[in-house]
This record gives sequence, C-alpha cells and structure tokens, in this order.
Amino acid sequence: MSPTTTTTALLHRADGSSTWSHGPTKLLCSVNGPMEVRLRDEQVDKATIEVIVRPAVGAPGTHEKSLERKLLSAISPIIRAQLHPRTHIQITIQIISAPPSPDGSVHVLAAGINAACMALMDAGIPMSSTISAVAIGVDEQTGAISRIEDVNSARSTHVICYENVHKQLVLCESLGDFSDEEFFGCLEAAREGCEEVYERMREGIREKVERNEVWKQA
Amino acid sequence: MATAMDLDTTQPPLLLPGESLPEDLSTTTLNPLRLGPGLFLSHDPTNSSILPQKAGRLQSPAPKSYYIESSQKRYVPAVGESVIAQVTGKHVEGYKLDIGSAHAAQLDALAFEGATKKNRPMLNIGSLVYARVTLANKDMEPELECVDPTTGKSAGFGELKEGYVMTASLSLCRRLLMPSPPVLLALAGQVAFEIAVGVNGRIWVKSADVATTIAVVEAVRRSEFLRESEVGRMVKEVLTGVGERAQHE
Repeated sequence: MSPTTTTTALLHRADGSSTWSHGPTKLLCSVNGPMEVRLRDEQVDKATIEVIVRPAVGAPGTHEKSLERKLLSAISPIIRAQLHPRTHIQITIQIISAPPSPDGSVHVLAAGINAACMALMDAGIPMSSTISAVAIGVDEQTGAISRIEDVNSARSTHVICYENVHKQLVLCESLGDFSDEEFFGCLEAAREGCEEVYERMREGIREKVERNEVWKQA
Repeated sequence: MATAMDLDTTQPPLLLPGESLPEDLSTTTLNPLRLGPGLFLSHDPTNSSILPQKAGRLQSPAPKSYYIESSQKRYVPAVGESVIAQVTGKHVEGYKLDIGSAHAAQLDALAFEGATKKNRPMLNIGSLVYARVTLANKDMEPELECVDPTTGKSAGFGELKEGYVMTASLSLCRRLLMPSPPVLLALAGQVAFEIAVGVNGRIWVKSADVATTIAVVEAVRRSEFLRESEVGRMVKEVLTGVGERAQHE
C-alpha cells in the first residue's frame, strides 16, 4: 500500500493550501475566501463555491471540467456557505503528477477531494463535517477488492467518498463491469479505506496545530 | 458520530469540523453557556448538538466558555474589533475602505473626534486608518468609526500617516495584542519604532529610517513559529543583518 502524505499551509499568498500525495499521485490545492464575488455569480443567501482543476501539463479541457463538477458536488454539502452570503470561495487543484491514462483521473478525483478538504480546514472556512475519498478497484484476474494501485489491472474502478461525521456516502463514481456483490464489497472496502484517510487528515491537522503552538513553549 | 481521540491528554482536545466535543454541551446544566468562535449548533434530525466548524483545539478559558482556537489568514469582521483599513474610494458622506474582508467597509466622514460638517478630516485614496468595527453582519457591508463610542475621543483611532503595512495571519496579530509579546519587547529594547496591529491581519510599522522598518517587519514575521526563548536571538540576527546591508548602501 503506497504511503499517503499530506501537508498544509505551504502557499504564502493563499488563504489556505494543502498537498495530498498517494503513490504516484500528487496534488496541490489552494483555497481563497470568503472573498469578493463577481456580480453575476453572487448568491444572496450563501457563498458561491468554485472549483478549478489544472492539469500537470497543457491547458485545462473537458476532462478537467468533469473533475471540477464531481469535486464540487462532493465538497459543497460540507461547507457552511450560508455564513458568508454574497462571497466567493475558490478552490484550485493543481495536479503535480498523476498516473498515466487511461483513467489516472480515478486517483486524481480521490486525492482531489482529500486535498480540498485539508485546504479548506487550513483556510478556516467553516465546515459542518469533513469528507474522505478512496479509489477502489476490482481486480481483473482475481476479483479481489482493494484500494487500487494499478488502474490497468482492474475490471472496474470506484471512487467513493464518505462524509466523516455520519459516515454517509457523498460520492460514488464507478467505471467498468461489476456485479451487485462486487459493488457492495467496494463500498465496504471504501468505508475502511476512508477511515485510514481520515486518520491521515487528523495527523496532517495535528502537525499544523502543533506548528502554530510553538510560541506557547518557553 | 466521529469522536476526538487525543493521544496527549494533557493538551486540550484537537477537533476536526463535525467531531463531537468531549462533553456533550447541549445537555449540560451550565447556564448560560458561552460559545466563542469556531463552534456551531447543528440541527440534526437525530439530535441537535454543539460541534466545531473549524479545525483546532477546544479551549475553555472559563468554566462556562468554550471556543475553537484555530488559525487563518482571511478576516471576517466582528463588532468592536480594531482594524487597519485602507481608503479605496471617497463619496459625499464618507469613505469606502478595504479591511481584507469579502466586502469593503464604510466609514462615515464625521466618525472622527471633533468632526463637524465644516471641519472634517480629509483622507485620500490610499490613506490608512486605524478604526473600530461598528457594524458587522453577514448580510451587510461592514461599517467603521475612528472614535471611541463612549467618550467621543479618538482614543488611538484615526489616520496612520507614513509607515509601512505588512500582512500576517490573524493569530499572530492576536498574539501581538496580548500583553508583553516577546518579539516587540526584544525589538523595543534595541530600536525605536511605532506599531499598530489590526486584528484583520495587518500590522503598521513606522520608524525613523527604512532599515529599522524592514528589521521590525522581518523580526515580527519570523517570530510566528519560534519559541519564546528563541526570539531574542532571532531579533539580534535580524538587526545585525539589516544593519550590515544598510552600511553597504
């Protein structure tokens, strides 16, 4: 199992930032806000949340747009946007490295959700909960269900995101051929995987809090 | 429900948003309960409870008071706070200012000590003021004033002439406003300077020369993640370094 690492607060000019690395996938996420909103995007009762995904190489295209929509759908429910009406919260994900296609985006979506959650906490955006995501695969040969290392060896891939307070399913993007049984097996594996991801997030936040408390020491 | 498990039980618990508090405050008999920043009342179908909305340590400065100590850079205005504001626009009744929040703030032209219609301070675009937040709610633009509301005197509020403004995290600014911040004491023992700290993440520094201003700004910046015992040495290093650069000019 590849190690997962995360850091916070590395971008000086962003209100919040984070990195999330898992295996060959590494992302950088920055969060700005609540800040001034473009008049046409203004919402009278809540903050407007925008997600931007930038690929490692080249200009953003439809692939990135699709990732942005999925990320937004996972992240929006946990942000307490009603506390900041008529403002803008901008979440930008820069892909630093990702496994090659096809569908290295499976890892990018899962890591993106985790990175965004860390960066939102780093920025102090009010949240009602946190979310964790993993990429689960059903192996082509053995049918084993586990967190994917190699997308090419999986008959079906599932990016599954759980919310950490009530353990509710927030996002499930499945690709490939799979049976009912396999699907529910994937949800189970994801529940466990998300617990591990959550622990990693807590460690990342602990590091941030301890760094900010150094001044209290004599 | 997720619960906070802190390995180090001597420290206040570290909580992520949505995690349950160690004690269930909603059923507490403490009355009244004082909730500070970072906590919210969640109205769940199953039960309503008080939960953190930011990641940080749960602090309890007094028996009935709780808040989450967290750090961030973006300012959200609250009434009564002292901020450093920069004028971005003028109109007949007053000024529009940037305080670093999502919305620009308003300052009435007469909200200064001894101001009348005939005699009012003239601020230009780009001027800095030290002001007090008088209105801050999520739906309206914040409003400021440059007088102490009870006495009508300026009480330190008003225009900040010359000097240099640096930005810092909100927690560093709060620490500088506590009694006896180590870095300011260490600097004050060696150089002369004037400083104003806004809780909106801005710090204004003014001194007789550029070298001193740079030294103060750099020392304050570096003090954020240092232990108290390390501050004295850091300040000496900064002052020596800036002094050497100044000599080469």
